[in-house]
Amino acid sequence: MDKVIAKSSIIENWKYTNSSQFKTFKNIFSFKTVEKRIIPKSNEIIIYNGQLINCGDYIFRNNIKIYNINEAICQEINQIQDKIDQFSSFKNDKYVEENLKNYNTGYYIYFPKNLTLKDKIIIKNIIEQGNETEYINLRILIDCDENSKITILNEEKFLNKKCINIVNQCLINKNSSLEIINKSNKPDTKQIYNFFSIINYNSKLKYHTIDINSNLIKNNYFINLNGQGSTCLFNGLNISKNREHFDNYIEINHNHSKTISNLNYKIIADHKSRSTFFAKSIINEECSESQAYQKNNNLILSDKAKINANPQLEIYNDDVQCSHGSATGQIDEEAIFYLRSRGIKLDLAKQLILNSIINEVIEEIQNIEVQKNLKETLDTYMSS
Amino acid sequence: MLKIKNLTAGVDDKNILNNINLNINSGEFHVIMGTNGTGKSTLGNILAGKDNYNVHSGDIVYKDKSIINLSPDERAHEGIFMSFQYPVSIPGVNTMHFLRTAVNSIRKSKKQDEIEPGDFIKLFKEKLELIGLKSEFSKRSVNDGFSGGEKKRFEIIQMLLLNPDLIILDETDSGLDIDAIRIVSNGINAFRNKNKSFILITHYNRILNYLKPDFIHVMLNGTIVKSGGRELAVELEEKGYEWIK
Repeated sequence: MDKVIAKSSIIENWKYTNSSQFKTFKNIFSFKTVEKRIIPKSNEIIIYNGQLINCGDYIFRNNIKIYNINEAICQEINQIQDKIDQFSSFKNDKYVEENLKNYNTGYYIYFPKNLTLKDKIIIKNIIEQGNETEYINLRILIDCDENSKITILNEEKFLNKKCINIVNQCLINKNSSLEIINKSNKPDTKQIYNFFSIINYNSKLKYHTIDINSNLIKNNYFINLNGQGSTCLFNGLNISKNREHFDNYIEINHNHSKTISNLNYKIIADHKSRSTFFAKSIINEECSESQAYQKNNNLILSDKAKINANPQLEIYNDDVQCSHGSATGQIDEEAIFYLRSRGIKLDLAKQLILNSIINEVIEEIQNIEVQKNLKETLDTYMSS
Repeated sequence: MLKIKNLTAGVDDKNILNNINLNINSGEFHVIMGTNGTGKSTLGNILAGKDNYNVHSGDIVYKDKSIINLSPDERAHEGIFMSFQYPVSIPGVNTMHFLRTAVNSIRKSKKQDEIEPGDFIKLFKEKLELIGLKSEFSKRSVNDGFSGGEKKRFEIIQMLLLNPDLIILDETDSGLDIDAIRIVSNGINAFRNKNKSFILITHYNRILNYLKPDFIHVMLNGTIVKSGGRELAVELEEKGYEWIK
């Protein structure tokens, strides 16, 4: 892995994170089998220490299939190899290559044709094992077949100090819609996360990610709009405190005409934390009548916190609509005075302003129950 | 209710207000007029407690207590309210949530129980109707995407709900059409009684036809140079400020 790390550092999307911070990623951790009984709710898929241990009744009733990736490849389920091959068009860094070669645990989740789910699916990924000197490779491949409409709440709970290298791949077939909400709690985790998505004809990805409470996080998101009329809404919030380091690289490739991407990302950085928003929306030559928008707003709460904002548009077609904007600043003193002049004390006024930023992100999520739950989590986190 | 005594104030070492003296009794309606940049809004901001202004000498006594060391929220708890000339927009903060927080903050300072959410919604909708705004307004963010007129009307709704005793209206009539001036004036007049005092900062006589103030003061170069009754505003509209200089 040492050589791997050296090579990774020269890739552009790693320019804001020194990969030597991941030097402990040397040996692969081996999970020990521990019996654990967790009773899932009807709509839950539970992965515990790398093992799929249970699924709720709602999963079975809707014919959602979950396979170990290796077994699915061996049994040629759903022509999975062809689907995996579609992701070879992405340029991988060595962490991704390492993950794809040596994943500790990998699952293939298949949503069948014409499936419209009224309730969300919750993937609970709990890891209690692991340590600081060995890394865990996790992999999930999500496959939404034609005309499906799915919402996934991805809940990651990683306890104790550990290093994790995750690859999530997501294939959205024609006329489908997938909404993913990432909610995580991993206070002592060092993580490299790579998300890849292929969005086909007339399909839609809504991706929400709320990143808080971690140690060192390098997120890379690569989204390919491959089909005519495909769209992507990427909605992110990153709150960093203490000495946390979050680095988010988001790349959206428009590979077909009439594709739309909308990227909204907000950062709140406090104490001595470091956060990065680095985005590229690329509209390729053959992609007329496409639209790409980026909006980034950041708030610095401390003189010692640092935010890197780098929104980029690469446009190779003149028949497109694009815009990008990025603003970084401190809390608006005029807004604070306005609130205080109405009798609201300083601390509460600041809290209202911070909540306003948080709410703008959370209210993009369609599921009201998830919105409420996330607001409560973030309220607790912000006041801690 | 309010005594401004020999007030000299400004930003850093620079004076904007020079030796201002003004007495306002309960139930009185005072108007401050003057040319642009003469310090009218600065006076409003200093009364409301804005941080980046300094009082260099003199005092501001409200209800027999000096308030120059009180924070803006403490002044609001004491019953001081300013309707802003340019209300700031705060995207993501819901109007109703903001106002309920403000009302409860003031109630808490008076050791009163918080208002029940259901009771507040009813009250808020009553005030919206009084000022001519639709109930959907309660779902919007504070001043975000509001027209100039909506911002000014929302300021008056806040005044009605927070129930202050000293009200500073900083150019509440600017940006309002003729009908809106009448509606907003009706809202202000409905709120007037012998315990409420007002300071209106304005450039125009039109709103005074509805509000019928008791006193008019002319401010030039940070000083009140002339005071009089309602007829002074009419004279100013006819002659301008040159004759006073």
